[in-house]
Amino acid sequence: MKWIDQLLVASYQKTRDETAFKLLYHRHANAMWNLAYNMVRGNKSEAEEITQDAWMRAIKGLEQFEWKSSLRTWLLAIVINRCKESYRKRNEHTDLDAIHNTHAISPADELELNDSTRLIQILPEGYRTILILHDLEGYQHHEIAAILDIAPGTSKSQLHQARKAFRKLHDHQQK
Amino acid sequence: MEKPLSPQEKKILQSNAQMDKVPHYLINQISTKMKNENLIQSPEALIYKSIPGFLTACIIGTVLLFAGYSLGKLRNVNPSSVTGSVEQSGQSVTMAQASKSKFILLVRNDDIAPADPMQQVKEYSDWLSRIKATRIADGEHLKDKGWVIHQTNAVQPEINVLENFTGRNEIGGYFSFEANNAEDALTIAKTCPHLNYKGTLELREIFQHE
Repeated sequence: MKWIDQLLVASYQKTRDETAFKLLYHRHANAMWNLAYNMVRGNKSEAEEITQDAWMRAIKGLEQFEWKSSLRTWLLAIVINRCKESYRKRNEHTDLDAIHNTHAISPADELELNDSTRLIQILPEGYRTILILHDLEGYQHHEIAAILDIAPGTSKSQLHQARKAFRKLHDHQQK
Repeated sequence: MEKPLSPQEKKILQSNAQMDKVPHYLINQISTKMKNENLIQSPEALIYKSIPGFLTACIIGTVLLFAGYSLGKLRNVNPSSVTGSVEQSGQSVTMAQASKSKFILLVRNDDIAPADPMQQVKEYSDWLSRIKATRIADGEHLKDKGWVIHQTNAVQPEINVLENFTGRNEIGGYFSFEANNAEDALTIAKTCPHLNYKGTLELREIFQHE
């Protein structure tokens, strides 16, 4: 439904119409929120801040958007980038390549596992991102590549590592 | 390639994921923030923006209406209250009056008896109203009863008063109005309905002191 987004964006750009913006919001807010909320491990206030900022950046940057990807992909990329900024502020590791191996999960994390532990929360950011986008939100590798600004091949290899890490944690939790 | 998650693993992943609904107030927060930065405009604002001509027309219309009302009021000042009006309205009134001459149209009682006296009064009244629409004007109908006062003897002055004169050449009323000049005043006088009743009019210019 790319044309609907194009229509709404054109309508917004013409008169800065609030109604057009709200329609855009309702089309994409859930996806942006879910991504932000999971990326910050359920920190609601931080997810709100990220979602707000993402919308502000998106609206301000609409003029530069060239429709090479879908609007949803572009919006999610903004959310991801905004999340990375939050990680950097907290000095968290965000480099996908740097967490390319399963050793990214520390023994300490494994020790903390219990039945109520949400596994996705203790996955490294890179793995969590791929798992959320691909296995939870259902995006394809080429879309994930566009969102994360990586090659589709990198997306596939990251997913491989992310699933492997997830299974390892799950197995450990079952013991 | 790592094999896809099994349905059971997917279920675990979904239960692990933080799934919460978007806070309902979030859109209002974002909208407010965007309004503060002029990134969006409410529909109401757009309506007003889309009809600036209408608003301009309303303003101009109001100004013209007020100006017209003021001008009309100014031009319909009763001559008997000119002094008061000048005091209230200032120099502009004096200037307006000074630019025109004043005339009085004396109406003699030599008209033919009308079939309907009230209709005649109405015609005179309507005619005066039409004049009043464009200039200061006034008019009154005089009662038949009157007095002629004159001195009969220069050596031993005696005031003689004659009552109840109803001669055909006596004055039955008057109209007064402003005119640019005598020609303008005559043009107005010729439209007086008194002429339709075969009556005689006398036009005189009022001497105005500087």
